[in-house]
Amino acid sequence: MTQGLFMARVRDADDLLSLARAARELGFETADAHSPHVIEGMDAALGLRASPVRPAMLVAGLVGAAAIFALQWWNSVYGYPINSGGRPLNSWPAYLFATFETGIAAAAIAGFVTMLWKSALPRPHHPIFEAREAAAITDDGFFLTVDMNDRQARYRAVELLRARPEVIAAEVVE
Amino acid sequence: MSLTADTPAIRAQNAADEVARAYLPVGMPNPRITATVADPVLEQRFGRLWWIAFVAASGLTVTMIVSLVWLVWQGVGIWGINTTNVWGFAIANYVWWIGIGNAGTLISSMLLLTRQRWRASISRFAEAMTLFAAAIAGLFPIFHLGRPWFFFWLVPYPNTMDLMPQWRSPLVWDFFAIASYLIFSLLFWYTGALPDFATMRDKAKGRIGRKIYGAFALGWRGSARHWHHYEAYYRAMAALGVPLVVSVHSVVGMDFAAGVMSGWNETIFPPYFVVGAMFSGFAMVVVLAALIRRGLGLHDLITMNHFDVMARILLVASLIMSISYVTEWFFAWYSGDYSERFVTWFEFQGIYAPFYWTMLACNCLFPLLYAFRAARRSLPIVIAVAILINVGMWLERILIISETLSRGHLPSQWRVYVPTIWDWLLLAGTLGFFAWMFLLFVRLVPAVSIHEVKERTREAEA
Repeated sequence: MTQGLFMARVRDADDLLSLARAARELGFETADAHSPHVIEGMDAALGLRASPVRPAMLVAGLVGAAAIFALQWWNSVYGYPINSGGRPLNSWPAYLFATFETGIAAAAIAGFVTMLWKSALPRPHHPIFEAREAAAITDDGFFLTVDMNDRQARYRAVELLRARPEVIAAEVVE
Repeated sequence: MSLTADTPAIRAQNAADEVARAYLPVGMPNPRITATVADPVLEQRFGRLWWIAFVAASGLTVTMIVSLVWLVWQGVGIWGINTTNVWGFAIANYVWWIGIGNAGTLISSMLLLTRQRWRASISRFAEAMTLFAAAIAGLFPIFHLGRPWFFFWLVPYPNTMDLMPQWRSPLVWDFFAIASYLIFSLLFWYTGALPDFATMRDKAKGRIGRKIYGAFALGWRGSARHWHHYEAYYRAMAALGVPLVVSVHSVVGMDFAAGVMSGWNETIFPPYFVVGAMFSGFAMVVVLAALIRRGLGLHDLITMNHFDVMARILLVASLIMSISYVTEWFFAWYSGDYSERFVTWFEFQGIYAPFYWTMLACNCLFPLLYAFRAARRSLPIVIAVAILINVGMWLERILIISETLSRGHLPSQWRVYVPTIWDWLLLAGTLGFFAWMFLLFVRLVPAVSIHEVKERTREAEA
């Protein structure tokens, strides 16, 4: 559990990138960056692993598509066979519409759920919202935060990060 | 950054920088970008024009509800449809509305994938347009069913009748296409707006505003981990969006092409419908962009360059539509089939001919004005032609239905389609309902993607 959060504000996205790299080199595994927009290269700077969102979408899409195709095929061939104008019972090209659409819908839903789950959202309360400048994140604030679980991290965070030239303001949120 | 050395690579780079500057508020600091978009929602009073529009739209929305209630009470006989013209306004409106919706997704997805920077300013409201238009479109096939309260029979679910939908029926394909499209559009739009809801939460002055925007923001705090998963999802959705739009409108085309009627049974229909959808939808985006720009004072974010580039797309789409019409006529002749040739003759000479000529003028002639730079740079001309395109595309949809059904294979069944007052009221009502939702949208949600404009502006400045 979070016991305190060290927050350092920097001027812009470039400074945040370099500070994030520095934090990572200093061994802060829990370092996180907060910014009003996506920053290209931030994933690498913080050493984030590839997001599982797309694999989840692929699997869900394939499973959803296969399931609805199987339902149509089983239903038309075994469940309730109807001779409709002499067409074959397994008129698979006609079944591909529902198959494709369902696959996309399943992928979209699975991706959304995975995105929220991996981002630990929804989470209405987080220590960062206690910070004086928290509201700036979604406007023009670029922050580096370090989750401090022990005194050691607290000491190092304050000493090492606050001394960096990029930092323009810092605070510790309890 | 502008380099002076003259090599092809540097020239290309300079040209790209030039383009970026033309569509983005380069040099504008982030807080001003936030304020430009968020302040009209949070601080400015609604203004008299907004209220007049809102009251008018509310009146039309009530008209829509009344027409739907009366329809359910009386049955589809209150419409102009008959045993010959079994599809009337309902299906034409459906095709027109879903076409308008499709452009929103296309703008969003295709322009994101091709890294078009001018997307940032228009994607949000284009997607909102999609959401509202697709929701309205979905109403029509349901109410056209005759017994709309049984619409859920289209859903494959275990039931006491031991029945499943008829999988070979275009109606069932439609159901899957619309349902998926609605789910997709909602998730895509909401995900893109999530970081902006957080901005609104942090900017809102009142307690209630903070709570409501906070609820929609789900606790978003701009963490690198949030952005990481957000990007993965948003771009993947964009990649799915393009084939989805093509498939949805192809299914709409197949509703016609899968039948054996002259004028419908053509392989060109799916692509022809997709381009038609993009055409009418882009025209609608142009109209809405002009309204939003004026209403919210977003002149810095939606510039004449945006209208210029959208007019070019409309011009190309218009040319493709013209080619499609010519192809239809050619194949009617080339098929050697009497009834195909007859329906084509009927288009030009029959009772609906004035509408057909009007449609050709709106879709093929007037958009040619967009070939001239002066016309693309004149907002009144851009808007006037865009409205004409929407009229023309609506005429196209109703004519595709009525020309063919009025002159089927059996001359004893030939009848003319005459819409009733309830057809017109429902059409007007849905237009009002669309306006109603859109007016609420621009007052409650940031109409432009704040975080994306910031990101693209930073890229352009770098």
